[in-house]
Amino acid sequence: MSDVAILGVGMTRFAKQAHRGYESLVAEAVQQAFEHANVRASEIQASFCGAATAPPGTGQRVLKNIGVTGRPIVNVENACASGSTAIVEACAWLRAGICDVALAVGVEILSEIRGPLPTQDAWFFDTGLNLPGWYALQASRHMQQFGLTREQLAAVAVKNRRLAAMNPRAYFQSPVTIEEVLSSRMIADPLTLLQCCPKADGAAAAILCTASYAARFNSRPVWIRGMSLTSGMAVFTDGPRPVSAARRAALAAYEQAGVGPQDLDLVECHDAFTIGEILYTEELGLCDRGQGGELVLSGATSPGGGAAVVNVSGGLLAKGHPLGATGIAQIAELVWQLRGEAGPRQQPGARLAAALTMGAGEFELDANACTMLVLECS
Amino acid sequence: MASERLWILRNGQPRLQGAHCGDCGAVSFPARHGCIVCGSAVQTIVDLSNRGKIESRTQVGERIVCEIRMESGPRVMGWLESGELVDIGSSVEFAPHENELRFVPDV
Repeated sequence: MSDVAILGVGMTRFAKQAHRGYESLVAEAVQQAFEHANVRASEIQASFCGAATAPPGTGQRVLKNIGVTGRPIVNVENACASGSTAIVEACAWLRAGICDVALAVGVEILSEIRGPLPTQDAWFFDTGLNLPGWYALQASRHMQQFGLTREQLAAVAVKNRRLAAMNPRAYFQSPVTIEEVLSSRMIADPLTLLQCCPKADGAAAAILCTASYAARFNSRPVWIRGMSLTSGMAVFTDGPRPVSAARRAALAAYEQAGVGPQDLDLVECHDAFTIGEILYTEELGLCDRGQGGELVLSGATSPGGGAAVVNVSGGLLAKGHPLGATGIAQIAELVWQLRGEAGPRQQPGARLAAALTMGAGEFELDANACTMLVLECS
Repeated sequence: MASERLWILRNGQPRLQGAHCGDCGAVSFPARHGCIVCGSAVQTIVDLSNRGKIESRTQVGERIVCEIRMESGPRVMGWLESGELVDIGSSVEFAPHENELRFVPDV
């Protein structure tokens, strides 16, 4: 399978900035990516726009002022994995030879939505369940099954808030303590407010190209070595729980890349809620199932901790989670890190990294969508 | 297959409506046109047991929301009429409230 390169990335700060509108957020992220990639708008042959709650036609609306019209624009919705799915779609076009250079962009404006997401019409929402509650059910089950503690859950938020303090694009810029996390307002037991990501506004962009196109540049591209996209499977059956979408996505991407979890220097994984990071570090194979709480509390996934550093950007919990932008922002962080451009939070010698992005909301399945990308810079 | 009612009254008793797949044998909830496991259209609507055990639960606002494994049947999602966050493993019984899947502690 032919390799795809990431030539450049860009990202707005994630913050409350709904007044700016979709167009302004996307323009900032895309212009950064053009500059980072040393690519002009006229070179883009196809664009993919990820957004989860934005109106139909958002791709055309936001890209019309950027000089990439008159070529394919594809709108992509896959819940919280909309942005990473846009990258997967761009890769698929590049690998298929449909185009040589593509733009993937993601955007969301969430800060003016009141209350927890989502609010669609489905029988399982009539129970009172929402997204924090769905993650809380997984946390409660993990506590019962494996002895996960509230302190271990809180340790995820503490680590990621500490890391975000070194990321000028992050929503939160200040650290918190375990006590502060545990004493914040209960949202869905056992998840307190500081264990839930903030509803941020923002955009992120990436320029991707084929290997032959990348050869024209002197820059050091980041290579996509493994890529997978899957959906969840049935939960409300009389059988055992399905093998999770995260596990299946991770295994597929590892196999394609010819690597395993022990090879990774960095991981960005979907910590929309603290339990997310614990579950997904387990599903990624960074530790055995049931050991994710101990892994984070021990400091192993903090910088210098010995294992892959997890969510060095601050993760969704501290960087913010504008749904459509999130998956591309995870990739942006990894590209900066692998190219040695991450400033005060740079992890020395980072060479191989992975991003796992989850989308949920159709709760009859264990996920709406899950993507995994394995990146390398040699 | 017609259906798509989450529950019906049978002999005055509310009964959750699941689907039994004639091809793969899976019992799933809710009943639907095709099997959520294998896609087969050979589906028979079946009454599920009204009793089950809590596999996980949380409190969202005033509501205790649960994942429940029905006796010899599928998992379902519902809310529990209870003043406290009951233990995982507790037994509950189906007691619908209007269109909502409400459960009560099974004493």
